[in-house]
Amino acid sequence: MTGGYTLRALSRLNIYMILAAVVIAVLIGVAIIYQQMQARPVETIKIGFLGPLQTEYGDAGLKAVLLAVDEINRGGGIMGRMVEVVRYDDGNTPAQGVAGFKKLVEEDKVVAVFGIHASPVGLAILPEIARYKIPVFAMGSVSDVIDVNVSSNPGYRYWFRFNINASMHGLMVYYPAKAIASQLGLKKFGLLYDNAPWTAPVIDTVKKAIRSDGYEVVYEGTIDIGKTTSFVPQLAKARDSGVEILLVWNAYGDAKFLQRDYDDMKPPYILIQFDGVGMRPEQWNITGGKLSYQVFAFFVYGRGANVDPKLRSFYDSFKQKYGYDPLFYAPYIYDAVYAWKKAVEASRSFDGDSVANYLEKNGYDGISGKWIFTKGHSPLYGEGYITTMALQWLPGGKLVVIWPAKIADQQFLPPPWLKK
Amino acid sequence: MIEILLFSIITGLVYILMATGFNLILGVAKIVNLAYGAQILVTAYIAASLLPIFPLPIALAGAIAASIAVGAVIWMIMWVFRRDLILSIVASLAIALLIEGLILKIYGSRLLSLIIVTGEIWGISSQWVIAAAVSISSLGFYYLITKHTTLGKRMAAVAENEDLARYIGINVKLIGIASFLIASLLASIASIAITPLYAIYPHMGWYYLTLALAIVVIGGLGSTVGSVASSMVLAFAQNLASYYIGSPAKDLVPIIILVSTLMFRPEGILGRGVRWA
Repeated sequence: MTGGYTLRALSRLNIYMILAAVVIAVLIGVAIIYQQMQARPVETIKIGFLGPLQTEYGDAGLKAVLLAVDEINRGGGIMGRMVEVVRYDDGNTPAQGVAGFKKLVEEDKVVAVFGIHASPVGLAILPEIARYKIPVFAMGSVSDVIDVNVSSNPGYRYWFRFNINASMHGLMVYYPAKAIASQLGLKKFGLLYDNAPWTAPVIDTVKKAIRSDGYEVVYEGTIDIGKTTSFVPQLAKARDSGVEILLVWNAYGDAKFLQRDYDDMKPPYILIQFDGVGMRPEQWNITGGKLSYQVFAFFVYGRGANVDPKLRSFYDSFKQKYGYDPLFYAPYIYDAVYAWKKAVEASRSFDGDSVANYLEKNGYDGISGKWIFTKGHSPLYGEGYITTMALQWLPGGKLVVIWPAKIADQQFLPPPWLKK
Repeated sequence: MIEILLFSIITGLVYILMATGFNLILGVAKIVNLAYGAQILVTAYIAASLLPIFPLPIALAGAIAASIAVGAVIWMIMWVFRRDLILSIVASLAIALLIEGLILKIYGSRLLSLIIVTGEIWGISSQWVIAAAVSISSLGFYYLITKHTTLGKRMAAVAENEDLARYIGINVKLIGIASFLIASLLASIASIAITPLYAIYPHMGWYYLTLALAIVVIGGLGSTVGSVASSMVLAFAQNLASYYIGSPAKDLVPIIILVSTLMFRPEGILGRGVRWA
């Protein structure tokens, strides 16, 4: 009996010891694994920003990308990996653009590239995109020639423009102008535009639209980019030509001088403009308030009365982070980052083909609207897709949405000097 | 069309102011000051920097004072080299490049606008009226100094014959300094008058230097009336070319007029036979 008891006691002891050893081993194992996990750096994934960093629009684009990446990282990253942004200044020149793209892909090992403003840069990097099969999300580079290239060359399918193309830039100014012409019974249009390749399809499209609507083009002038610092001759010529509405396309920041001179001269016609750099609330202070009654075509505007809450939330986040409202490209390129994230997560891959397949098939529903891409990987423009709006500056610095009517704060208010 | 004529007169008046300062240094101090445009540049950038911080009069006074200080430094350097034409040209070129480089480094290459006043006077932009008023009053002030003060008479004496002026007891160096400071004042006033009508950018100094040179050559060396005439000719030619042909023609016109003058009338419109070579 004693021996049996001892044996039982020993067996119990052995069982306890074995259990204790197992528990200790498991704890040690867990500790080692935990330690190793802690010691191993969090794996990041790199994306590139290639754009004119010295410009306001380049800086705005970069800031929007950084905001999106910040939000994504705070939410756990993409497939468990944190995202890091590597930037390169392309200076809006093709040579620097190609060098930057190669550097980002070869040295920094980025898996996607965002940014790109100038069309010549976009055109120059298309062959590199085909070579490296890296998805590229352009915020500008709106030339229709790029669409033609992308649609006709399967190797360029990694290019996606998160901005409407040049022809649509024509219509985003013409449509609100047409509404104003209809409101006031005006017929005679003037066209003033950048002396640059991107405006050729703009003007072709707008001229066709003007003629088909039974209106008339009575004046045409060009802006010598970076050199036209007084618009007095152009504005005087437009007036002497009988212009009733002057339509303007300027993408490089020269239009602030036009806005100043229009306000100084107060010619008897309406000014409605696409000013790539000027579509922002800060423009009032930049021009010393010389903007009253002028109309601007905006990509989006997050402070209107009937604005989408998602867009307003983006405006608030941007302002909280950077201290001012987002400008021009910011919402578009912000959408691009999230579109890329969605494509990667849906396809469980950073691979260029997987991302391109997803976006070609599904597009992306973002804060700027629904991004559905054409064969040239340019978004569809119009209601239900990507829309634009027109805003008017009123005396005192109030900015109101006047077009489209569905989201307008109020109707266009003609400048008082038109009555003279 | 009326705006074009009015705008041409206003820009022409500012051009006269610019050319007068350049002519003064050339005539009295016998220095080809290629850093003259850089002084216009400095004034514009300092005014643009001070205006958001200080009240208008203080900001503009600060910008003018800075330009005069720069003029004083240029004078000290140029006085050393003034006996050697080539050296003085190279030295002023180096100073201009240095100033331009500093501006580029500090402000970047962006085009800026300078808004000094808003509103209208008699239906005309206040900025235009002020540019014209400032130019006319500065030219009047300059006329009074040169024609009705001892300093003006001494400057004329030095310009006419430096050795003789020294012989009769005029402090040539002091007159040189005075001419440099007055020229700096004219450059800074011209800058404040013209930049709100155009733009501020780091390379604008060369543009205004070229204009001043062209005005002096076209008008005729040493001819005040010639400078006035050529300033107006250039201003009208630029704006009318821009009106009828397009904005790219604006910068081409002064060069065409300058080359034509050098080819067909090297002494200038109202020159007295002085030639460059």
